Amino acid sequence: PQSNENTDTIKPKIRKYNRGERLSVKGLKDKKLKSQLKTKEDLFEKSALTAAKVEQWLLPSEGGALEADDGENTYDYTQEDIVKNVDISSAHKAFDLRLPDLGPYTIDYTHSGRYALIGGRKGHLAVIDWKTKYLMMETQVKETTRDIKFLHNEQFFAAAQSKYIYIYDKKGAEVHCLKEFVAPLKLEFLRHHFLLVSTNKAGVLHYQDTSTGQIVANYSTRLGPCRVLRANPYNAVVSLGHSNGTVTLWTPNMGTPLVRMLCHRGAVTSTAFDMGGSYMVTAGADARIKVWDIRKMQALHSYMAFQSTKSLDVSQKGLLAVGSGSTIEIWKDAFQVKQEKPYMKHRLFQNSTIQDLSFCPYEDVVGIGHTGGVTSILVPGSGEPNFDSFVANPFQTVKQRHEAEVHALLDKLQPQTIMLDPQKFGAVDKNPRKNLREQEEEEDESKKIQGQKKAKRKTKGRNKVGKRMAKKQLEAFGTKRSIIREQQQQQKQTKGALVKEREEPLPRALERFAS
Amino acid sequence: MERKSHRTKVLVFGMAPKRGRGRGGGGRGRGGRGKGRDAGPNYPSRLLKEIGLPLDLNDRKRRHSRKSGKPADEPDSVASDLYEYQEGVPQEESGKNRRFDQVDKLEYELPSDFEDEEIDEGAASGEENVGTLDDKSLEDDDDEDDEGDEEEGDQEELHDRMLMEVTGKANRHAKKVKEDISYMDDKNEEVPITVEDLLAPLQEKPGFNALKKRVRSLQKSAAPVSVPLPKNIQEKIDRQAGYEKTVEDISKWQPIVKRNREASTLKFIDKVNVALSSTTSMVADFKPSTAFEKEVAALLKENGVADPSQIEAKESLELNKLSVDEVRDRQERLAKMRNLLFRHEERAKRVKKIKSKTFHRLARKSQKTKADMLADDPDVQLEETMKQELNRARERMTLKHKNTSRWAKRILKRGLQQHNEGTREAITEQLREHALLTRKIHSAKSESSSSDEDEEDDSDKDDEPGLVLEKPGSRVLAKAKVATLKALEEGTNDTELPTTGIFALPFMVRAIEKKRKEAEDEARAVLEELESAGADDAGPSQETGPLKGKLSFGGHADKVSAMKAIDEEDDMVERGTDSENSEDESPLMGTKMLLVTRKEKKRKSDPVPVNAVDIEDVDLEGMVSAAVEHTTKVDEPITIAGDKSERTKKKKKKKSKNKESATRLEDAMGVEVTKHSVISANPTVFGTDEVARPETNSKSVADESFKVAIAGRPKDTSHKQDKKTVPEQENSVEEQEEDLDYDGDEVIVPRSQEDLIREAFAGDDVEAEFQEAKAAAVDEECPQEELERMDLPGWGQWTDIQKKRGPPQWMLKQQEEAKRKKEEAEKRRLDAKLKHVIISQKTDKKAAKFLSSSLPFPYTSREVFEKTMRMPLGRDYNPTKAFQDLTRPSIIKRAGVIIDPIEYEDVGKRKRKQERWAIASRITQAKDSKHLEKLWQQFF
Repeated sequence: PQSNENTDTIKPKIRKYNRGERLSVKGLKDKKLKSQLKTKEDLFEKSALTAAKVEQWLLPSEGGALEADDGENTYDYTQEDIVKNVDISSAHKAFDLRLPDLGPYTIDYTHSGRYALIGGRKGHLAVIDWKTKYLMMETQVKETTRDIKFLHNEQFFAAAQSKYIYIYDKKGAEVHCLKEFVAPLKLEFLRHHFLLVSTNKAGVLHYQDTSTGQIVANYSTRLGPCRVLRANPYNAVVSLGHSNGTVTLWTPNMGTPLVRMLCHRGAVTSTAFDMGGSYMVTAGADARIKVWDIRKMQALHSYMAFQSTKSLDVSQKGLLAVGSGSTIEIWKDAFQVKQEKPYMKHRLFQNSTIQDLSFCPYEDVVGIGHTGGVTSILVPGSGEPNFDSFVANPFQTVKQRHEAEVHALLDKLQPQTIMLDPQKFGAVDKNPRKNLREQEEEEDESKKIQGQKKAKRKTKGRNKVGKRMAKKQLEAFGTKRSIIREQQQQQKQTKGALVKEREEPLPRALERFAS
Repeated sequence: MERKSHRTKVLVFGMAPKRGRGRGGGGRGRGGRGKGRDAGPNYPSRLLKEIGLPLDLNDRKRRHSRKSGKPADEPDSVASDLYEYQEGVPQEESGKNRRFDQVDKLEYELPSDFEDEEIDEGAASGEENVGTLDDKSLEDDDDEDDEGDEEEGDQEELHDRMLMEVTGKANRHAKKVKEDISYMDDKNEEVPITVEDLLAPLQEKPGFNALKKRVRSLQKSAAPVSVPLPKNIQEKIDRQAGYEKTVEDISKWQPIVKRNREASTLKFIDKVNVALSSTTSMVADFKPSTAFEKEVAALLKENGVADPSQIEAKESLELNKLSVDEVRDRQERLAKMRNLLFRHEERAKRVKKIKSKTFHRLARKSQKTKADMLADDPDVQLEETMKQELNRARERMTLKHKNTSRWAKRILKRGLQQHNEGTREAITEQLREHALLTRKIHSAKSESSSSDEDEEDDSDKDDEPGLVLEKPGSRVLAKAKVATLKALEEGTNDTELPTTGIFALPFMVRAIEKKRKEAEDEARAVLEELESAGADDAGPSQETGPLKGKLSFGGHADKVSAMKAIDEEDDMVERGTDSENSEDESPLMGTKMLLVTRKEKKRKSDPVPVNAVDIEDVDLEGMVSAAVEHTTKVDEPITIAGDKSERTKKKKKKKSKNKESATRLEDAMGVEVTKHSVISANPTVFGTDEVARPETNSKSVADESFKVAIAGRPKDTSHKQDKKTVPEQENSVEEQEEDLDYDGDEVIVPRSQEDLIREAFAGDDVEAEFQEAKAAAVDEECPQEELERMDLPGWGQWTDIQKKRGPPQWMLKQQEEAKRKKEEAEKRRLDAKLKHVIISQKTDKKAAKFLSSSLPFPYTSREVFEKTMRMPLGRDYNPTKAFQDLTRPSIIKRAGVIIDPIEYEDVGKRKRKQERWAIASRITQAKDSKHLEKLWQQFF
């Protein structure tokens, strides 16, 4: 019975790791291919089984959750209640940073969740090791700062300031000023591609490679200033929200949006994607929150909010945080099934208004940037409980960080690889254009032909009087010139000899080679 | 079929390098006699004469050959001759220059039961020729040996053969040939050597007798040796057999080769035996060698700790030690525990035996009081009260008692009278509970709030219809009366009218006054009714009580719907106002119940009874409250402050059945409405917090009109009241609207949130814009075919008739075709069915280089190819072992390792063994004899 139990629990895991049905080789005629595919499939199956077993036995931590007693609701529990009932280390993760002066804060976590970057609108930037509350860096840029984002690790971050995007290092020193892009509003960093994506007041979408510094793409949306930018973690496609209620999806490869969707009647105020990349959540000024299946591009359900939502975020485990006014609501399983009531609710102190929301990866914490500072609250079950130190290591040493950086650069994906359905990568082109190589060859040929065309000899003006005189003079002085040249050379040689003499004599052992 | 068994020599891998005489390529006709082979052709004498050669050339040749011991007519080499005609030995045959493979002769044995059809056929056809062929070969010998044999003889022989073939009879010459053989034999072996001769010298040797015996037996059994097969056939058979043998020989490698080819990886690595050394093995192998080590070992042995097991034993002994005191203590403790347990058990038994229920009850009670005593301190008590409060709150939150459940709704919809007593009672019970709960809230709140509000709350509190049910006392009526009077007074006093703004306009003032008057009238009417009711109440109050309750339920459902609508309005209002009030409520996103404060809740409940009144005028409380409401100025932000005319217009439009035009107009209306209402009600929508709220003055007036509008209803509809039945009263909002329209009275109709939002953003008309954009995108991506202008201008347009016909048929067809094509292309688009989505159909040129332009070779279907790529192979996505397995190269070799040729091993052996085992197990289970037999056959 025990083994049965095990198989029952392990089966869904195997299915998860199998990534689709097993390929059946029945219809294949090619025997060699058949046997090759069969062995490959067997290996895949084995891999899935091992992965499932690893998950079952080596990743035993399960995500936490709030459970309500009879007649109670989980959203009744306040942060105080939760903090009272959790262990000390977790209790320390809930805190308020009261920074009332430097105005609404934006917040961003590193990929491992260890460091938090906060940026006040009035130029206050700080990097915090937020669990120990150790302030790594703090600086005042004395400029309006609209958004901040960590780059590939905690060593660098970008800030969208009033005129340009700046890149700072961990000490707060300005490393770069990206002058190519003016008046940025929102930033996003694509970790696997080393792309810094930004939008600005002119409604231009800008992709810049942070490893090479090259500008990858610069596309105009023609839809006015764009304050909503979010990347889909699954396929690195970027979504922009516009004031006319549309959401557009972009890749750096196309100058026009891949998809345009009319999501709201008012302006779009925020978008967010789930980790699997199948759902998108949008919030609009029409006080609605809509959940979309972006595989089918269809709205699944729509929620009413009591205020227009300012910020949305989806956690690793699929919790949805909705920040509007000074209230934050957490919704559980809000994608598949329309929920009746929220999972959690929290109200900020002193009615400060939410500016930005961000779930901390690998932690049951959501960070809230607002007018009164920064607040971190506990949301049981939001983060992934098991972290893979090869993917994101919160306890990274310096050496590991160096390694990881190099590996990340080696594994960097080219911007051309961004596509709406990454499963299509390497697939057969359904309507192939001309063979790429042929095309290139043609281009080369045309270039060659162009090169062969010699420029016309323009002898215009050669026969001018002045030119003729000059020529004559040149001929006259030609002999003189050669003499002068010889003299000059001689002088040089003597000088060189002098210099040589002045140089230290060679060691004795080497003298024989010098002669 | 014929079976043959013979031992043959087989040439393998080609031909022998040299060919002996008469072996020439199996060619029967060529050089059959061998004459002239080495010495050129035999020329006719006339020819010789012609070319001037001596006539005796042939003779000379003969002579020469005779000299050299060869037949006379075999001419000598003519190398020295002028006439150098000689067919040289082919290069490959001569094998002089080793350019051609040297092939080994290998010997193989044919199996004893060898059989072949082809060979049989050959043999069969050969049998006829045996004689002649034999002749030929014999004659070959003849030529060589017999000097005297002349050409004539040859010719004779040929003639004979011909004859024989024609007549089918052997003629005399055949006999002669046989004689010749014997003659030849005699001639060749002049002194024939017999076995006896050979054995003669061995006579004296030991074992000679035995040898002799064996020889004799051999001689006895010796049958005449059959005539050997002709060479070509023999060779064919040999080749055949050789092939068979080779196939068999090579095929044994097949499984090995197959295995190697199918293996995912082949390893060519030196097998290195790494000596495993663990700590235990090192310890076991350790032998003290140095003096120091020996000394240590000796010491250890002396103390008995050389072995780890000994150490363990000693340690455990040490640990087991207990002092006497400790043991005694432990025993005492155990005894005490046992004793206590025993006593407790005894007591429990005794108590359990008591059958008196009262005793048990008392016992439980005493226990409880004990617990209470424990919880005597104020903290605990406080907690207790908090808990109770929470329970109550929860009860309230469940909405269980508000008749909002599906069941209750259904029952109310059908009408209460149609249900039995039980159901009715259940609903009454629910309602009662609800009233109780809500009253408790009020009381709780009134304590905390200020005295001014207190009064209001009190009056509000009593407005609940549920409360009327609970205690339909005269006190309520009295209170209502007082309230009405007060309101009337205030209404008359409050004659101040706005002096500025829209409401200061003369027609507006007039309207307001008119409304006010109406309200007053109504209030008076209510007062009258109240008085009469009071008189009634003094009488049979007990009977009317339940009746009231019953009747008022009918209105309740109506109330519910009305409440919902107003809820929504309030929500909108709430969003406009600051969110301070929202603290203690639980706004739910999913349901439409949003931020509603307690205050609002109360207000909400206010207009409701009016509806109830309009249905049954029995519910006096509601009417009172309505009257009160309209006279007292409530500081409430308005929801919809569109002016009268607009609203009336709207009603008219709504009336019209043409839906499209209606909605369009509504949209247009919406724009106007937003100007008024949205800015005042929901400024956050536009993000303009700075927009000042409309003056309270105008608000209150508008509000008044709103209230009046509702309050005015009962008056007009009162005459209908007796006609109406209960189910009719539960109309939907729309129906009510229509009713109202019919009455010609302007009434604000509570709209849903969605409607409001639509109105709020109607000006943007994003949808139309989006549709336009989509159409443009579709046109761009699926362009209509550009039709060539095939007609000439003016052609076919000479006459009016031609002109009237229009463009020719074929042109129209072309156009239609183009249109159809475009439509099809549009249908094929991914966003064809998605109204609010534009999916770009443009191909991503940059990403196209990561797609394969065609299906790679061994694959025949795209699906299969794409499916093989579904699994990521990277280290990040696979466990280490799996990753290694998936990415292992097909051949692993190490530099410098010599790769040996394959060694033979029986791969199939194991498989066969397994098969046999399987069959054996089946044999043991088999029942059917036939089947069993079959299995046995398979087994062997």
